[in-house]
Amino acid sequence: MKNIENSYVLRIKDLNVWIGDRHVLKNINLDIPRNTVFTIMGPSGSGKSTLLRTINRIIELYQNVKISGEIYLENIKINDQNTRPENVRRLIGMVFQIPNPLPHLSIYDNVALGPKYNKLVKSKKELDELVKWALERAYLWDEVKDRLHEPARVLSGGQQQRLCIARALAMKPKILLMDEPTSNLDPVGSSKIEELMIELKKIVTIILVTHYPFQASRVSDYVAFIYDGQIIETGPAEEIFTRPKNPLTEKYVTGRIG
Amino acid sequence: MDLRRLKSDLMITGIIIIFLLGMIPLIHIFLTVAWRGINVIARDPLGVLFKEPPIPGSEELGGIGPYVLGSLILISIASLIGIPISILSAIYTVEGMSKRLGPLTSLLVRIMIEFPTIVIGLSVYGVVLLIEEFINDLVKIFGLGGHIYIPRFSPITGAIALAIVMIPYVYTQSEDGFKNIPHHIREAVYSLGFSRIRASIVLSSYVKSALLSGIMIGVSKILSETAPLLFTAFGNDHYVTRFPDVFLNPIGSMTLWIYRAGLSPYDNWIDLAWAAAFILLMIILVLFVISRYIIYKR
Amino acid sequence: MAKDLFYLFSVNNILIMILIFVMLFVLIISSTPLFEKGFSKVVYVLTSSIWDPVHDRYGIFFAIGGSLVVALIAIIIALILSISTAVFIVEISPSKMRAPLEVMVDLGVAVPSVVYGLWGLFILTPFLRDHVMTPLIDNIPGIKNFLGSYSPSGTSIFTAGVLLGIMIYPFATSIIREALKLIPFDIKEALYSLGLTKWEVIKNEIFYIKSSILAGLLLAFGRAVGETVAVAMVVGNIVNPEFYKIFMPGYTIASLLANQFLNATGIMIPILYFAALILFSIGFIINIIVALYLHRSFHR
Repeated sequence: MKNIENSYVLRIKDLNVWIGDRHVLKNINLDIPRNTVFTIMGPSGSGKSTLLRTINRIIELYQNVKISGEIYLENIKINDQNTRPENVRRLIGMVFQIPNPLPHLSIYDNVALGPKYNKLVKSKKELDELVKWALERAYLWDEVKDRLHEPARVLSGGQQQRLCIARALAMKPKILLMDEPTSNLDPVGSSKIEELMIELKKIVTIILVTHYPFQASRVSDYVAFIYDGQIIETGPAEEIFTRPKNPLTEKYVTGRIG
Repeated sequence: MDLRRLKSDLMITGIIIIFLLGMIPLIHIFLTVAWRGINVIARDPLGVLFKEPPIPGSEELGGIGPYVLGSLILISIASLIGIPISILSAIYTVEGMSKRLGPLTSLLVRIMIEFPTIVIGLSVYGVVLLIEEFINDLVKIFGLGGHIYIPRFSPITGAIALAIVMIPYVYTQSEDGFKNIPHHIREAVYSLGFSRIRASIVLSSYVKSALLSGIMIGVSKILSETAPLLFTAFGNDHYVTRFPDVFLNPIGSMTLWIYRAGLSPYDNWIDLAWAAAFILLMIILVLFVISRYIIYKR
Repeated sequence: MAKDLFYLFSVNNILIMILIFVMLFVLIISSTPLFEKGFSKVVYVLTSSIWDPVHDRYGIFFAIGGSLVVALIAIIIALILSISTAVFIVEISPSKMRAPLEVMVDLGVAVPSVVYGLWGLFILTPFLRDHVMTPLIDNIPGIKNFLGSYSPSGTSIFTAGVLLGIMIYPFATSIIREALKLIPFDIKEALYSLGLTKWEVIKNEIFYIKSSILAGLLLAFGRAVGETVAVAMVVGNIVNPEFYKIFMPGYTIASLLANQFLNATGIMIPILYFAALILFSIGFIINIIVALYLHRSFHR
């Protein structure tokens, strides 16, 4: 039993979320294995983004939200009143659908923001090294190393998104949540990020949300199919795409719904 | 058809005429203040800026130094009190997401905008009296002899009255600034694991132009105010700069000088009133230009 | 929520909320010596026009009336000037002129009221006395009986009203100007495509934004009633029961407070606090109406 528990970095039990009167997530149960790309896919409005935001408790920034159920990070419950949301967010980073570097800060400052104020480093030298490391992991270092102090907004869309990934990585999180990270990018930018994900899973567990089944099939190790707030089926990616057990799943992966 | 067209042209001409009529006094005020003010200051620029007002009836020009300094002191203390209160409560209203305190503050502040400022000054004076009465009642109850006097006029009460005038302006600009942060920026900042205090500080740098704009508006507003100071700062023709005395004596502001000197029968005082008006208008013009520049840079 | 120093920020919100109540409290407590004299005394103070320090008898009706008449004159002037100016800026002026004109109007808002007062005292007062009041009185017989005759200096309720109108019209203009700019473009297109003349389009636009105009005027009225120094410098500061004779000097509540408060003795003191309470109430009620009314019509 211990072994199985240890191989899961995140476990979600009986999670229900209501926004206002709407029951957005219904009895979600998921176990996320370490160092994998775990994809949650489903049509628009199925609750994927809400699920992601419940995991890092960003959903608490909004009013009228009611949550029941449990989420465990490395076997420690993270979604109760005794755990401060900011502590959770230091271990679970997030990359968003619209690249959102802070436009008034430089490239360097965007990546340095988290580690600096969360006191992850003790000296400027350590901070410089961390920023370089994060930008390298995000496949962005070569493109920006000579202009680290230019404002972030001079970068292209794809570069900005990789900057956001670097920003999240600089916190050395255990999990990286990625909410449709390529939907606002062109095909070249998208494929760069997909390449990135496959490399990154060596150092972090990625929970990816996407509504493109084809993207999911390219990058995932495991897939959960969500529809109307419920997990319909989960399993290794290969199985889900070639031998889906649920007829709904089959309809989705073959493009007949969503 | 022709008649309608004629009527339209006539009414439009009428509007243009009324517009011009309205512009005349505004332009005239600027020109008059500049002309009269510069003429007075030209007689003795440094003197006007630094000397004390002349004794009534004397021939010399003197200056409005204590009043200029007084404005500076009052505005500074008022800003020190008013700006943090406004910005921090605006942050709490937006980031704290409290269901009652936030919206209530928002509403009450909007009621305080353009409130009759003489009432504010009078209330502060009234509070000073009540506090003095209360302290002396306590003194009597405890059998201690004597009677404590709280100075009626001081820079502190004047600054408090000005801070009360300033708060609604700085608060509303700050609140709007924070409310307008796109939610994807807010999510990005919070997702880095900052506490609400730290996140608010980071977000403040994102909205700093809105905060600065609010501060500029607030400072301009209290620079122009007279009524709140009539019964709190009151006015002082002499420099008072030694330490405890500064806070215990009445203090002037350029606006108080213009009011008192303008109504006085002495020509040299009236001249100095125009000089003060010019200086004040110039300072406000500079603040105006700076705040437009900040908005332009956004 | 876990313990979080952030909650300390709320102290500032509480402080702000207390402010308004403290002011109300102080005004009421300081007026109580008047209330203790009974309801009929309060009514007496409100409805009679007497200022007799020797016998300690006062009635502030003249000041209330003065405030209202001055504000009325100011609103009429401001209404005409602000609508015309706003319409001119948005609809008629060439687009290159728009920005400088808007700056001029905003500067008008920024000029301190005491500077308006200074100009009013030395420029406007003699001007109105020599070029409006004198000709009217000399050429229209009997007008003295309606509007009164003017004081030698020319300070009067009329002068105060005109000065106040000039003072508050830039503020009203900026509100109406913004409202005009917010009219959706397709509404304007629709009006023009119906073949309406420019004047007819303008009339319709004014009708469309009438709630903003009302709000702007309400705020301007509040400002007019509360304005102290500019009015105090030109209104004459004479106790005048015939405040409707606008060419005569008079008092407003605000200028009464400015002039008399520091020399007050006896029952004058609570009466002046009571007058301040009246001003407080007027300001409060107007601002509440505008705040709630605007919230409704703009769905913030």
